[in-house]
Amino acid sequence: MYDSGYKITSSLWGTGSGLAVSLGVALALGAAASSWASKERLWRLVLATACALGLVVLVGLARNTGAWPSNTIAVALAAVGVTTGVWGLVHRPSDRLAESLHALVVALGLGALLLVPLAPLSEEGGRGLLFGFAEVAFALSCAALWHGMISSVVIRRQPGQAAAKAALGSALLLLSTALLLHGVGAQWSRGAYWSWEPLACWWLTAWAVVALAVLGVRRLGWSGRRATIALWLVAGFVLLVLLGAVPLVQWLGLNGRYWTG
Amino acid sequence: MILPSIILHRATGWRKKRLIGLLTSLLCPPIIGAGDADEDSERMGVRVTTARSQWSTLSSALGRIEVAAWRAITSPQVSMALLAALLIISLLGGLLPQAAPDVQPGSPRYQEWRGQMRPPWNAAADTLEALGLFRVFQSRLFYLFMAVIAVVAVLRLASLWIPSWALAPPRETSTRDFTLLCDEAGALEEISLTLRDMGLGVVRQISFDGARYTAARRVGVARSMPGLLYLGVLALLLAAVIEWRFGWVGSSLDLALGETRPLGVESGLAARLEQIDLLPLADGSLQRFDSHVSLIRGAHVESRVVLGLNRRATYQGFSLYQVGFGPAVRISARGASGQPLALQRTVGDTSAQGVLRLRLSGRQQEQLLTIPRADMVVRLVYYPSLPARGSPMTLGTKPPSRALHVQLLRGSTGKLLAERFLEQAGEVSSADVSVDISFEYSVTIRPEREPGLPLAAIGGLLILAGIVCQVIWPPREAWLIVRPEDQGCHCRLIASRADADAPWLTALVAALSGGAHV
Repeated sequence: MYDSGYKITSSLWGTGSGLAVSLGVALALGAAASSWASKERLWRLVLATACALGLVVLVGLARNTGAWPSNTIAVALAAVGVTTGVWGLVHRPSDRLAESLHALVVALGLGALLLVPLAPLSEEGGRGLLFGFAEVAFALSCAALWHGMISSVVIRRQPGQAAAKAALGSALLLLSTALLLHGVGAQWSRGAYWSWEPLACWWLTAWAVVALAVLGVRRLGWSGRRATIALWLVAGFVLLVLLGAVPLVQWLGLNGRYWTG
Repeated sequence: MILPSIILHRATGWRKKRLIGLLTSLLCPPIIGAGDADEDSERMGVRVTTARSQWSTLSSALGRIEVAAWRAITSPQVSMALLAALLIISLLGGLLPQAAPDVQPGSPRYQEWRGQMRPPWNAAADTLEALGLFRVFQSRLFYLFMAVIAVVAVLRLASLWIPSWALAPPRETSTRDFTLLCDEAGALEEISLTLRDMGLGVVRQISFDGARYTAARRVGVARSMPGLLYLGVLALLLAAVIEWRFGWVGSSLDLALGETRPLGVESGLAARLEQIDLLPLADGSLQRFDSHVSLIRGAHVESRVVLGLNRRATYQGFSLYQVGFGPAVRISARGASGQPLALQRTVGDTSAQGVLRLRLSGRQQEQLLTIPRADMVVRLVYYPSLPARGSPMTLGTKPPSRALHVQLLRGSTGKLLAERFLEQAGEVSSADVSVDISFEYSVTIRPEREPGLPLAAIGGLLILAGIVCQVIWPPREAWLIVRPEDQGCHCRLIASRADADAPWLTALVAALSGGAHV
């Protein structure tokens, strides 16, 4: 781990990754600009390069410093930003504004890595590969919701149900996967797949909120503005859980200690 | 009384056999419920509800209750209510400190836990405790909630997997009217074919009062696979019950090197820590932390297992987990001429030993040792900078920093002869005795018997698969009333209002009304 003032450029490894992140930010901004030049192929190429650089840096950070989305705010922002870009690349936005917004979110996420000190929120670094995969799934679900938000902004003249349905459905699947992986990791590391520890409770809260929205949109027929508002609220809440669950749990002094019995 | 009768009937298909009028009326489920979208639907629902062997005011009322209960259980509103309850419960778990399940209120461990509570909760602790909010997951309300989830899951699974089971329409419906220019048999055949094209199948038809009532829903894999979600929920709940009834979780045991401690009555085994393999990274954080443990029955070593980070060991149905680590010290003493001196604990095992290993647990701990041959007392006070005992084992985490205050005292007079603060291995010497101290680790292990674990794993996978199937194949249900008229058949298509704009319903209406008068 590192000290509270540690920035990504503070070490030799970090200098290289800092350069990569800077290049990623520049490329993402370039992708945002290229989207207005109506060159979709160029936008895809540049944004894909920026996302790839970001992913490499994030994996390197996790491996070398133990900085994961759940314990470092800057890493969480970068993970959500980069994966939102990945969602945009997969789903091919049909609108210039959407392309531009996806690229800007990637730039902002990577920019957070450069600007925000990598202050560890917890001494608990990477707790094993399964917990890491769980966090990746959580970040991906958060990004799916933000991708849906961007889509709902762009297609505001149409009913927002389709964007909300796709985003919420993907997010629910990914969050379920995250919870499952968390359970497997917890079983392997401490012999209890589910022990209602505070962080798992917050993840379950996020899952329940997404599931409620999915039910509303798919079964109760929420559409238009109601579906869009639900999507935005859910996206905001899930991001808050990703960024704020660990500091909140620590501030409250919970620390999940009781599970050890 | 009502719901079991529905289950009995729908599971057995027992409709025609009559017991007494009231019971028979209960056993005959409706396919269209009362209170549908408009007057026609209402009339239709009432007729079908009362299409029973014994028409009476009572059976009609019971039929309405039956429809309402069944409609409620299968409605998305109930799902939302359950999810909202889960949301509240998990929020409480994320915000409030929760006592460990095996710590009973009023016990010394509970009082110790209460004493460690930090702001803001210690100020409101009495109120929260009175409300039972420190034991949310052991409360009767929580168990009741789980029971409700189980009942709802069973009923919904049955509704998906029992082929002839048809549901009443939801309270809020969307209706479309059209006329098919053919006789009743032709209309029914056309409807059946069109429904099949939309992935729907007729699950029940009944005739009453000159009209034909049809319930249609998804068939085959698309109908049954989403039920995996409910099956998974049931498997998880069953696994929890099995764990509670037949499982066993032993106490967490701290073991220093060479130390032997019993694992618990259930296992009849004892564990001895033989060796620790520690592989630190350049920055001091842990890359590998494996402990070699011998399992002993009586005086016989039955097995030797290796535990590690995210690595459990199993032996004869028991699992062993390495759940934490802590500091320990290795102490030896020698005289002025270098001869070894035996050390003794003042409590516990007081046998004289050339080398003593002590676990140092807790935030601050004092330990007293004696060196009888030198009339010397060694006082050790440990100051961990971080809570060390039971710290979750984590990769990439630096071991907590530490300090050990060592004092050498004359046993007969209590006079301080030497003292030193140690942060790493060192020596504390007086005129005639030197005490060598080096830091080691202890490990925390926990034995468990987990008979429900395979079922829980299956449950988790089924839930995930079920959610995938629910997203791919969301529920699709339609109800049709066909009434022969002078020129063709008047048809009414009823669907949930949530599906009013659904592409499948639009396509179904378009296909059905293609050759019809809308």
